[in-house]
Amino acid sequence: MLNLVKVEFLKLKRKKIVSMMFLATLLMPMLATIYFGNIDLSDNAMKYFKWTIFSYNLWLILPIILGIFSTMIVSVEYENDTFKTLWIVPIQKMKLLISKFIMMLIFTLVFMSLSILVTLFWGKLIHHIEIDYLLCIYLIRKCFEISGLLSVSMFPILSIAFLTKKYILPICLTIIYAFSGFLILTVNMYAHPLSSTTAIVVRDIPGIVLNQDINIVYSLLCIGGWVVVFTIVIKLLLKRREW
Amino acid sequence: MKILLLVEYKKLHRSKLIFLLVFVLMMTLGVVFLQGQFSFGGKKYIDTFGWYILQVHSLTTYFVLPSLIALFGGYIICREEQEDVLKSLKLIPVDESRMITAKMIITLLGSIFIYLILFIVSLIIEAVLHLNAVNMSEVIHYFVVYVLTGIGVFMAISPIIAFVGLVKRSYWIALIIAEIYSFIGIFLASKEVVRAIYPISSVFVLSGLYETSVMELMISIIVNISCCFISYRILKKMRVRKN
Repeated sequence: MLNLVKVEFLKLKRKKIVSMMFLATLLMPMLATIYFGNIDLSDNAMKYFKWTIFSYNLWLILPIILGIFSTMIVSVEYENDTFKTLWIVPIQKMKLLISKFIMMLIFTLVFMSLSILVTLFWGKLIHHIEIDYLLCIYLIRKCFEISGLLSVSMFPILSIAFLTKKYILPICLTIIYAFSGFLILTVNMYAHPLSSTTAIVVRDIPGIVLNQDINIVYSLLCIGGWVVVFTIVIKLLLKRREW
Repeated sequence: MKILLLVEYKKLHRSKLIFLLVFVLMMTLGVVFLQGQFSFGGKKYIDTFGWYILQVHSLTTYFVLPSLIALFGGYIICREEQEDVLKSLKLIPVDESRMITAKMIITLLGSIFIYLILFIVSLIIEAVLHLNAVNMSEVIHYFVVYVLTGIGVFMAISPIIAFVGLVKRSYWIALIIAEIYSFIGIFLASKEVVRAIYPISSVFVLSGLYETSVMELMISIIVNISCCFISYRILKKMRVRKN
């Protein structure tokens, strides 16, 4: 498994677009500066973080980027026709899928870490926010939380990308998936993995009130349920599939 | 040109892309409908006449459609090269610049078609829910808004499609750029004059959804025409490079 992840890293090293994707971390701090204008945020760092890390970044930007990333790391195998070679080696299909999932998890972790660093740097520079030890610990904890949950929530898109040869279907589904997760959050947060992820993440962020009570068990069940269903479906489909 | 348009139409007829786009639109309509079930002050959003038709328009324009139209345009421009039929087309010989013009026209028609589908379905849903409240003048107003938005969105994203045509690689890059491009529009839409300058929010000014001054309207027309001019210049550069 470790070798597979290493191979994935080597493949990604050749893709310049991956490093360009990290530029998206700059988006929310910049938009927050436009949005807040001349408002002094020096004594209200959390308000700024809610905007730059725990809002659109969490329920829209990162899911879309992750969807595209997962589609890309799978489609590259179809494009270069390397899947056949991989099956000859032979590598277990599920193991390959898990290695791609680990790559997605690492990507999310790096994205979130960068996002926090950019936010802190930008906040200090533009908004003169105070950064203390406790705040840093809190942000690091949230970074791990978001990375783990969001990667698992994006597993259905990775599975669909694994089954389709072209970019279009998984990418279109990514948009719908992210968009529906964002809107369904206001209706029923336990129906969609992204809504459940948001619910878990925002549970202890001061000042955020959702229209439903946040139940972590239900949210985890929702995410887990979707992952189990997609794992079973992909396992069955991969078994039946002739490459 | 007529033949080229017919050829593009026939190619699309064979492709599953149209079905996929329709599926995505239906999913989007369903998600907005679900959001309408959310109650505020004891009343569901969807119980108010005009809420659905308005939300479908604004939410899809900011979050979904520009990226989908960019993906559609990018795909039909790049497909000849990716499917390796460009050489055969050059042997006929087909004028590449005329072919790309035909593809741009098809993208424009596709954009209007997508908005018309949204308009018809949301109108049917409004009529089913509030038959007595439907009045002809509002229906005509929304029809004009939707059609103008279809044209405006195409104009606003045409430079992205042209850019993808220029690099002729990975048409899904158009999707990422268009998604971020349209997303930024949300934050600029509330600021007067700026909303007329930024192409995506200027579409709302142009379509008549916002009550705006004549100056804002003029700016938005100039901005949209400038976008078309930029895409024309990019496409011209592409032709020069090819020669």
